[in-house]
Amino acid sequence: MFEIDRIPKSVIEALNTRGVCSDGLLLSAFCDRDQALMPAQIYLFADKDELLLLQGVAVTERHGNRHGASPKAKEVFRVLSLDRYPISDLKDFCVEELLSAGRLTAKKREDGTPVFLSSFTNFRKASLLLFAKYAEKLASGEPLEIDPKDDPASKRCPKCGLRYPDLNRRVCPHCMEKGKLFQRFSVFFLRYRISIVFMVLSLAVLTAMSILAPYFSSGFFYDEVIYGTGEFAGQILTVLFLVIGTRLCKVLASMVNNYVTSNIAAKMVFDLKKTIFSAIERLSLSFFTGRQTGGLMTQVNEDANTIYSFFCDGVPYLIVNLVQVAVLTVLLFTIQPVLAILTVITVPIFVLVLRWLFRKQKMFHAKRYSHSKQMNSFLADVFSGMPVVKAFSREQAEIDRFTGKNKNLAQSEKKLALFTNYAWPMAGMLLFLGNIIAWGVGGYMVMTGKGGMTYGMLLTFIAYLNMIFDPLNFFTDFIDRTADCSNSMQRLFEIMDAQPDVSECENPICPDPLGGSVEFCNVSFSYQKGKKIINDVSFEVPDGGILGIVGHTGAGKSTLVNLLMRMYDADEGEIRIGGYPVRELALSSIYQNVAIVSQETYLFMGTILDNIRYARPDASFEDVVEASKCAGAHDFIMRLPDAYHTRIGVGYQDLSGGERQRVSIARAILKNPKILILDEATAAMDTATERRIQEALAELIKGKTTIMIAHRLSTLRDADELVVIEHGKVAERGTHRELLQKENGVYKMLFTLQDEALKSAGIRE
Amino acid sequence: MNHHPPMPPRGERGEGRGKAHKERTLEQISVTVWLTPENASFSMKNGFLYITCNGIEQRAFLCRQFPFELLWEFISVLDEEQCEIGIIRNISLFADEAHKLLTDELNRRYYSPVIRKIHSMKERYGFSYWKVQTDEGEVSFTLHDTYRSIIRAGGGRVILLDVDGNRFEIPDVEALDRRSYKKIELYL
Repeated sequence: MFEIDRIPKSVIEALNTRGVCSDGLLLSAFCDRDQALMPAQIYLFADKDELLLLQGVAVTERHGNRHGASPKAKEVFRVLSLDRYPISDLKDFCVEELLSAGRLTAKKREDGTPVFLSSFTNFRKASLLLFAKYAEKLASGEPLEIDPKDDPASKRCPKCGLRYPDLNRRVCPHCMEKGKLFQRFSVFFLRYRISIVFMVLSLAVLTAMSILAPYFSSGFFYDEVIYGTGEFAGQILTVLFLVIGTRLCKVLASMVNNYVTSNIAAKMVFDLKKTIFSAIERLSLSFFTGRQTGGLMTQVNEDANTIYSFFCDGVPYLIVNLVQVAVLTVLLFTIQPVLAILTVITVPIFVLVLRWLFRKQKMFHAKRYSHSKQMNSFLADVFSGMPVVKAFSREQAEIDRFTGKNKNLAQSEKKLALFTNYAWPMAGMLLFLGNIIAWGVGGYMVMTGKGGMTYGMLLTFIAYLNMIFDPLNFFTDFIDRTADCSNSMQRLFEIMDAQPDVSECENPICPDPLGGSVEFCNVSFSYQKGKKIINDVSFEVPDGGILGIVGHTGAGKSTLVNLLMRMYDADEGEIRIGGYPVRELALSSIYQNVAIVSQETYLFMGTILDNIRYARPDASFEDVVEASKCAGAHDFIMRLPDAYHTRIGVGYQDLSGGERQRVSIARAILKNPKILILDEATAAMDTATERRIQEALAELIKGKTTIMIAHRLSTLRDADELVVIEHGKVAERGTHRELLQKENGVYKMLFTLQDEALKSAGIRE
Repeated sequence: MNHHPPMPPRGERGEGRGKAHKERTLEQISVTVWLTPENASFSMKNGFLYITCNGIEQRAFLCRQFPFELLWEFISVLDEEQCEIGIIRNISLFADEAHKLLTDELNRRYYSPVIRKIHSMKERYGFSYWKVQTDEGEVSFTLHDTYRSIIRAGGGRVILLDVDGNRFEIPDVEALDRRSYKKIELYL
């Protein structure tokens, strides 16, 4: 049985006592609501003949002697009702979505009356969608073949059994192996091993010198030089030189450290960003449509910085700080064990308080960050919508809205500043507490001479004591940094490991030249499961032919193009270019031979020349000029101050929609593809511009296989054949003339309608 | 700028092609049919709500037009193809039985658990795991991209959208107890 949800044994038993043999059941799922949307336990089963709905309550019954030692607890499913439907009487299994819940319904096969099977909350939606899908198959008498993608096991973490929170991202946050992450990453990190060795070494010297410094300046200076006892008695110059020497070493080490760090930082961030960017570029289009582009940009930037700062800032300091704390503790205890114990007691308190402070501060930071983000997006929104604001004279309202956001931001900034100003001096007080103990107890010891304490030793002791707090400060923050970094690395690896949805087959063929014919054979496709955008579409265009595709917005026209370009793979059926299935062709072969001019033209920042040459960077100047003349772009380009070297893009020369379109056509002409796709290329133009571009296009499509997609039917006059797409299906096919002769034809209607509209507007095409 | 596809008039096709492709003209869309007890009646059959209007009985789907503001006014009644049959200005126009049917159906249609208390919230790796007290007991759910999954719907109303497509509602976030409020505060 395909258990979409796990069925408890007690339920199977209950089913058996009701005379249903559970062995033959093929499908099962669980619903958590009844028809009236009240909480309930309803199990659905299906086999070849029947659909069963078992409603009941799971209870725990205790058996045996009431006074017995161990009454056996047993799960029992008390059946409230059992509904049975002959499954072949039902059709159109469907999940109707409510707001936070849904209904599983079907229709009677004979008269289409709806049948209410059960309700559920959206927690169960994924399961019930599957149930509907397979129940439909059973009802129509098809054999039950389970798509491995639908297996619920693939939706759970194999280790802990918990469902993945995001099915597109099969990562179980509970079982993510941090160790492995860091291990995998260290390979990347090892590239810089020499620099890192230098870094750790310089840091070690730095720390050693910091530890030595008080020893000379306090210990020797007071106890030996000034009191005149011991080895260095009276040798003030020697000790001074020692002090200066340690200081110089320290400065030198810190210079080396800074040099290495700045070098490695730039290099590593560069490498990281390159890795992330190339990993992203490799992926199929669906990856980008599924996410926000803005999110991707921050990901490239922020993740690189987080990872870098962890490995370059965090790890070396961690090592050095660990050593420092160990050495300092040993030193403190050797100087005066009793005093050390007394003062070190304050350390755990200090650490706890620090942790609390960090948490608190982070929250204030996060709040401020979120407020400033809100403010920024508000500003971006209003400034780009300025024409609308002016047109509706809503300036004052926008000022008020701004004031609100501004106030929030100011307030959270004030809170953060106040916190920082109050909290840290308080933490300083705790630090001071350790000092006070040292001064008091240590001073007493020096005065009475107990414990062999001298004034110099006390000064050294206090200097060390204060040095121990810095690393502690670092450690408390380090835990959170580790978490941040592992998150960033996780995301990075996720992208690096992501398989492009569309990948070349093992031995892609690269025929040269590739023929220009295009065939769609029974192609079906859906972006989302269950919603077929393209449904069994077939047509063919001979080499050099012109095909027009007509249809409403959302009919699936552009999807056809995406499929041909292999931005996505068809779920069913086959697409062939020049007789070769696109799946077997090398992607580069497809991209070389197919060009798209679409309604949304994207021109990159750079010169017009760069943009036209984008498809063929090695094109000669003659070719570029020729192409833009064909596209009707040359004239307007020559009117620009820097002609072909005019920079376009944000902050530079602004081109009008028609001009951009002509540049993009020039780009396509320069590519000189076998197959040309015009996806609403002129939809956004006024009639005069459209006419001009039409002429340019007429030049472009000579001798090429062309697929034209258009709303405006007049655009398609030159097409050899027209395909009318409706709801993802081919509704009609034929030439313009043939289609016009069809009574009640969709095309005929569209045509008459547009014709009339034009007539009534006084325009004759 | 946008070039809309022309809408074919209803009479020329539609009937012959079955109900699935019911296209409507601009005029038909822009004319509002106000449903009142005089021109419409509601009934319940097999757990489904039915409307009888102009002598046609069909399944009715209710939709609030301003779901954050008006709960019982401006209710769109849609047919099975999601085309509007008409609008109920206020369901109180309908009395007794019909009023109850409409209220119940709307309550079911817009059922979303109300959060009374937040027991715990843990954020890890872009997901946050919540344990809350709702009117129907304790519920755990997961949010992805927490900031974007928590929506302020005007006033103190907050809506949480979880990874399964559930909606949870907090009618007035300020009215939550302090401990609960602190857990959600950061995301508001």
